[in-house]
Amino acid sequence: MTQRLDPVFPVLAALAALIALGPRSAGADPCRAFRYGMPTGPVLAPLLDGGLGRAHRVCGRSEVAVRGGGLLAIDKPDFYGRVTAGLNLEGSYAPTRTTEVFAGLEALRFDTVISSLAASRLGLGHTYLGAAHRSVLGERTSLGVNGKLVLPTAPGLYHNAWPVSLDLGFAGQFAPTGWLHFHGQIGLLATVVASRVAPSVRLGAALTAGAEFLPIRRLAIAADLHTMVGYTDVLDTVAGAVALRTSGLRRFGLELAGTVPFAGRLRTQAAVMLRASVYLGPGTTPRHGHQRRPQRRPRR
Amino acid sequence: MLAALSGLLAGACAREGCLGDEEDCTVPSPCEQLGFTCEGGSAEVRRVERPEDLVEGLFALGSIGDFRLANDRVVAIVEALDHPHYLAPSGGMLIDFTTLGGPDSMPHMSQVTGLLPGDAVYYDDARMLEGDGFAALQLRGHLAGQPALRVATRYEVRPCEPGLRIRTEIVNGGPEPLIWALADGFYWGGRRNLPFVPGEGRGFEHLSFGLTTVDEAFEDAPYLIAATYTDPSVSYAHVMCSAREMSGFHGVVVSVTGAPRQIVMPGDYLVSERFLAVGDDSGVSSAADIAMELRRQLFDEPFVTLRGQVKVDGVDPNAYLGAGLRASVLVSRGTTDTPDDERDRVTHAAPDADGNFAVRVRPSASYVLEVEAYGQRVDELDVEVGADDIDAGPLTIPAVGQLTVDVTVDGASDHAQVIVYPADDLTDGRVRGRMFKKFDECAPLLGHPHGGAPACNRVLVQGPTMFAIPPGRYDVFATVGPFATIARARQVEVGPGASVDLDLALTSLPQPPGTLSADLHVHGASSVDSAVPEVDRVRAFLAARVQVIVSTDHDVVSDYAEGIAATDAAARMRLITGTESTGDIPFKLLPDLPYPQVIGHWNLWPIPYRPAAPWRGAAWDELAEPGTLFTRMRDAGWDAGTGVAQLNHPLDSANLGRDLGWGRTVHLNLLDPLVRVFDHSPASLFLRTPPGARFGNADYHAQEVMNGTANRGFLLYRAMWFYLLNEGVVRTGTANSDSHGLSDGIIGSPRNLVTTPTTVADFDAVAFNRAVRAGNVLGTNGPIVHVETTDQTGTVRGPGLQSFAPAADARLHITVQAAPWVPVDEVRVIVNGELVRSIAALQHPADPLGTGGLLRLDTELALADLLPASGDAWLVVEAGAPLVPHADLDCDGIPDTGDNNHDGEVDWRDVDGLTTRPSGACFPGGPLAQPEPPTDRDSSAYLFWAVVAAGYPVAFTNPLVLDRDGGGFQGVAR
Repeated sequence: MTQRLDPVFPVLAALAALIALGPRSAGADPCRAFRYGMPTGPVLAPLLDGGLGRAHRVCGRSEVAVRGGGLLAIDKPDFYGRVTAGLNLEGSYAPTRTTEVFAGLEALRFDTVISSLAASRLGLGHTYLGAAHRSVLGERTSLGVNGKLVLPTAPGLYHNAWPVSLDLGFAGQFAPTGWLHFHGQIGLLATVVASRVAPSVRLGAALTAGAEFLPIRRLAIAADLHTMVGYTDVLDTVAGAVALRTSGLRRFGLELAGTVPFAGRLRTQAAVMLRASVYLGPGTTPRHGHQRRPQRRPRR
Repeated sequence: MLAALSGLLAGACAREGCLGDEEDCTVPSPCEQLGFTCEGGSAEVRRVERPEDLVEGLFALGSIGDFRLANDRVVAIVEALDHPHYLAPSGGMLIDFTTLGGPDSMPHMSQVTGLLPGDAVYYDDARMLEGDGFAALQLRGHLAGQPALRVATRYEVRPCEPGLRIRTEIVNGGPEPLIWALADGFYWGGRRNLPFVPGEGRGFEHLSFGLTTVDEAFEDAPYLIAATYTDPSVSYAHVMCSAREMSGFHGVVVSVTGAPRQIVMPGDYLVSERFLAVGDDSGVSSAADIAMELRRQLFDEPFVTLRGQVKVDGVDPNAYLGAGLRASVLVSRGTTDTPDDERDRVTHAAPDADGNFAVRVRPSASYVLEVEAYGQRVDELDVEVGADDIDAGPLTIPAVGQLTVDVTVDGASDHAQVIVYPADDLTDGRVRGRMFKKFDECAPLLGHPHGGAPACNRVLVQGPTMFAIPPGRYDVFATVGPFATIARARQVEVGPGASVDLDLALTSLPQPPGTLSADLHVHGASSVDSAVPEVDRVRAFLAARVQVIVSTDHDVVSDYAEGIAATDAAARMRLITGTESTGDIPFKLLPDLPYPQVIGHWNLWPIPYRPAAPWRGAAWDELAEPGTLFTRMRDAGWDAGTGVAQLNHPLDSANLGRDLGWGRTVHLNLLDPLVRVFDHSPASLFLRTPPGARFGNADYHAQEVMNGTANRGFLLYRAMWFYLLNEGVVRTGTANSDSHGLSDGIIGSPRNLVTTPTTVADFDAVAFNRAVRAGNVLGTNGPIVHVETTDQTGTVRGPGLQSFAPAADARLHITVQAAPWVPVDEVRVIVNGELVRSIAALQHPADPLGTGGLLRLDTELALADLLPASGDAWLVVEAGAPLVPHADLDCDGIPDTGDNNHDGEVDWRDVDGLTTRPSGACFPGGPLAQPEPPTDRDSSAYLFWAVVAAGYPVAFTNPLVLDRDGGGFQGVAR
């Protein structure tokens, strides 16, 4: 696996350099379109704990959110079923328009695994911490890098082994029109398990490509194709993810999303989520179709 | 980068045992908190190389090549990796375990994480370890079929210790969160070890469960005790070292106990340490006392000794205290005012011959002692236990009565079976009981229902035989099978302390000449679900006057040599060694089937008995279609050329997810033509030859049409037999007791009368088996049916599988005889599966207890009047009681419902749970009614019911196979 992934490192390094050193457009920025409550970015209805492997939005923002969601796994031939449901408290802060730090806590997590026997557990879930940085390449394009650490803060769920996971992603956003935005991310994910068992390191790569369609300013639809390889199997998943997003006039956002794998080891799973957010950043209330021409200068 | 990361982590994390899967790893010694000392202790581990390395006992199944772990107190035999038993997919499990020189009472213990086949541990590596003060066996492997889910177990003995230390480690190396209950699974079998679990309302009581409800049966407990209450025997205590409580579920068939169910995330692991102790007698307290000592060492739980004495109110007519079910004491926390289901069961004691008992209990608590005698609670006593040992004082039990029964046959004392019933409802109500509220009710309960005689209400006698009996009024019956009269002593009054002598005289009746009376399906204590002592097993053969027995213990071969040597069986009967292959591990017979199955039960004989070989000479019989099974058995020594393969109880329903009948496994629909070409449907498995097998799945020779003394499956099994005859799959129909003890089924009832030139005196097993394979067999539990006709050459032909062309004017000659106590009310002639003639005009004997009136019918019928106008046909004659009304409501051709509401019609109203008529023409039915037991104790029907326990008279011939078109018999349905 290491051999397979090594060739991508130079490409990723070049991308990182481009993001770090790339030109910054002072005014034109595809992310300006989302300076209100409307959720943005790739669909988040994760198949892995802590949202591991899922693309992060390019357009950083300050917001707080409550996300409830669940994952259902049914592997009938193997008499296996799993339900995971959680309530997440999430927050992000964008000190500059190109930088974001974010964190989330799975405040309440319910797990039940059903096979010939069944067991359930209710308690604290995972915690994640992350940061993102982007470079604005023009009024239609932005590239970013993001990273996330997922911590096993779930007593009772882990008995003797504690996995710590890391996501690293390179993301891009392209907005050909005000009502259509494309996004994508290529990323690496890794988990190391600390235990008395032989050290376990699991590596994978993820690719997400999708689009957001905003037919009216209060409504958006996002659709992603999400692929992950090497993490649990050669092909972990090829999944479709869809989100229906709506926003209040200024700061409130609501997203209903789901992920359904088509292929790969995780094909027996499906995830749904409902996320309510309050946008805390500087705002505009763009009129539909005019997002590309902001009415006033950004504060930063 | 990965290597660097791994190295960093390796340095950061201290390794534990074999969790890391290193080649040379060692599982740590478990239960380090424990310590026992003694003079001259020892510990050893080695391969079993000689039979002397093995242990004795009814349940002992260890073999050469297994591992022996022993110290100065206990011996454990762990299977070699390629000697798996029962539910385990590999060896490495505990097959025998007892005190040094003691009898084995351990059926089987294996490591599991759940109930599915993939939850069982598969070991593929074994390593013996010896060191300072220990000897150990380390096993490594994984969950079956899942190499990423690694498991390592260490069994360890240390000097002076009364048991085995065990540690198991399991790692979830897979990508999914899993649910595991890391536990030891004990396969008690159903009639052997009784699990006892301390707790409120528990003890011998456990939550019932099925495959889909097992989660609800999990309960926590400080430890598990298992005791057989059959002598000689030992008991076991299973105590967790790594936790104060264990979690599990329990029943008389299986216990699973260990760590609680928990979700185990990828990369995570579990460790379980426990101690399995051996108590030195068959009761709970000997093992429970060790459990108390273990918990004192592990968790600082103190105990004191509680003593007491059981005294007889009056005088027993003999020294019965200390034996059988005369008295036992259940010790619970609580008082006599505490309701039964709230009493916190602690331990259970069997007083000695002087009535004394002593048990360990926690100090400073109130206890209530309950005394049970013959299934009845007879006294209770409150005891306040302080910080010191205490004597509870006397408990009183009423005096018992005694019967001394001598049975003569033709004037001489002989082996016989005596069955005792209450003579009136008052006595019935007083003496009906269940041993420790487990197993079936007996009235009266004279002894352990699955142990030696007396068992339940049955006694084996040979000469004057004494046994204790609760006071009451009884009817006492004696029988030696269908070729003798029966005797009955009516209204025998037995008072407390009284002794009553009975002489019961029987007279032999003629057995058809040229026949041998054979039971082709019996079990003894080598079967996991039997506990009957071997000598009593053989005495039961003799009491039934069966001349040929095929030993068919589950999965193993037995020769009952000890029992035969201890009796006069060698001169009176012959035994053919075989086995009943019993599917325990479900597997997918076809990739697309939604669930795994087993292939039911199959008898194969002869197979040479090899006393120190795995499965005693049989082959491993799991994960195989019948054709593959036959191939393995042939390779193991089954004489496939002259021996017999028999399909047992072919449509019996599944038990705990294990199909008991091959017909059910393949979803045979008797209304559909048999699938001739394998098309990946379940039904097409019936005729296919599995890949690599030398036999087809249908290459068996016989099928049970009657199974069990109560004969509950007769309507189903005959329906399948008839169907296969119609389809041209012509196999011998047989009738067998499938007896597992002295009370569940009576040996030889039903039985086969095999017409063969060989005799007991000059027995030729090949000739005998040839006759069975040829269908020269009458199946019966009483009536004797003789059928003959003539073929085109004028030769007289009887039942058999060889087809012949009947003479044009052939007549069917039917005679029916029976002992006077066997009611025969109907004779049925069946052609091609259809009833074509029913004859009810039969003679009945004047005195059912006499010797006259054997002949019930002697008639001739024109064969042409019975057969269809043309074409091949087959004909079977049945005699006995009329069949109960029945119907097939789910449209699979298999009777499923009886006239349960007694309205004279079998329809949806008879189906359990239905309150409105179902919409479709076909719907699930059931249950199938059984004949009502007679209520008039003076009726002749009651006589038969009493000695053929709960059975009803039936006999059936094998078919006359009529090749009328001259092209050979190919069936009649196509």
